[in-house]
Amino acid sequence: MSKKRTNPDFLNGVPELVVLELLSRRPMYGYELVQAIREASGEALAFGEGCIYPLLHKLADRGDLSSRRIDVGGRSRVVYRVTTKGHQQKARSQAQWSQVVSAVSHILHGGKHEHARTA
Amino acid sequence: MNTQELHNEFQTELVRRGLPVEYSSGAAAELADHHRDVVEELRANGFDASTAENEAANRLGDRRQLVKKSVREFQRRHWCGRWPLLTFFIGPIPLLILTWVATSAACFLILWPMQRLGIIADHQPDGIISWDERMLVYAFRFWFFFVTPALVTIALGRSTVRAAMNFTWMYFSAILLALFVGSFIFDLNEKGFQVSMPIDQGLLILGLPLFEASWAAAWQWYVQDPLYLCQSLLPLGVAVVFMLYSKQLSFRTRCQALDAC
Repeated sequence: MSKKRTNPDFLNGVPELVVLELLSRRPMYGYELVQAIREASGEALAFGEGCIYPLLHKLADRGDLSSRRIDVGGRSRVVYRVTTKGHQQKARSQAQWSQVVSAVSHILHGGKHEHARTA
Repeated sequence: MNTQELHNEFQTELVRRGLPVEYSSGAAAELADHHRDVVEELRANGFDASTAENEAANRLGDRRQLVKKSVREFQRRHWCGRWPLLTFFIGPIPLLILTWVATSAACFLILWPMQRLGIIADHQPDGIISWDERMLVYAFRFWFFFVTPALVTIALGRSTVRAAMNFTWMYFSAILLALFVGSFIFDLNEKGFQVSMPIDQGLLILGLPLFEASWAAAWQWYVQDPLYLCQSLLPLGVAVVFMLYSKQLSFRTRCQALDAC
C-alpha cells in the first residue's frame, strides 16, 4: 500500500483555511477533523492524515485555536475550537481565497482578452 | 506497526531532534490516538488486525515527513527559528556591540555620580602604570573581550537549544564573534605602540585582519600574542563546551523520559 502524500505546493494556505472553517462549525479532535475534511471535500483533498497535527499545533500556538483535553466516547482527546482571533483570521483568509479564485476563474474564462475584444 | 510502537518511535524521534519531552509526548499521544481510531474504523469495516494497523500507519503518512513537519512547526514558534539568518548571521555582532554599549552606559551611570560627589578622584595620567591601573585595564579587557563574547555565545546557544535547531547555527555565530573579537587589541601603552598618548592610558586598536594583503598577515594578527589568540578562540571554545553540555543533558533527559514511558 502506498503512503499518502500531501497535495502539491499550490495548496499552500488552503489546509489552514479548511481547518479553520470546519472547526468554526463545531469543536473537533484530530481524527474527527480528518473525517470531516474527507466528507466535506468529497475525498478530493488527499494528505497524510498525521500532517493535520503540526498544522493544528501551529494554529493553536498562533492563538487561532484553543485546545483542551476532554473525555470523548470514554477516551481522553485533545479537542480544538476556533478562538475569536481565529474567526478573524478565517475571515481574512476567506476573502483572500475568494480573490484568488475569482482572479484565476477570470483568467480561465477569457479575462482581459475577452474585454479587449468586446471593447 | 501497532499503536504503542508508533507512539514510542515518534516520541523518541522528536526528543532525539531536541524537542522538549512534554511536547513530544503530547504530539505522539495525539498521533497514537489517531492511529487507534483508524484501526478501529478499519476493523469495523472487516479488516484483520495486522492489515488494519498497517493501513492506519500508511494513512498517517510518511513518518520522516511527519517528524520533519513537527520539528519545523516547533522551531517556527521561536523567533530564531523563523529568522535563523537574522539571528545567527546578522545578529551576533550587533548583539555583542549592544552588550558593550549597555555595559559602558551602566558603568558611566555608576561612576559619573561618584566622581561628581568626590567619592572617587579624577584620574590624572602620571606616566607610571600603577597596580590598580593595571588591574582596571585587565578587568576592562576581561569583561569586554572575554566575558561578553562568551555570554553572547551562550545566549545564542540557548536559543538554538530552545528552538530545537541544529548546533551548526551556534557554531556559525561563534566563528563570526571570534573573528570580530579577534580584531581588537586592547592593552596598556607600554609595548612600544607608536601612538602619542600617556603611557598609563589603555590603548584600543581595531584592526581589519581579514582585509590584510595576505592570509599570512591576517593569521599573524590573530596569533601575535597567546592572549589575543585566546580572545579569538574563546567564543568557539564556549560553543563547543555548550554543545557537549547540552547533548549530555539532553541524553540524560531522553533516557529518563523513555524509561518513564
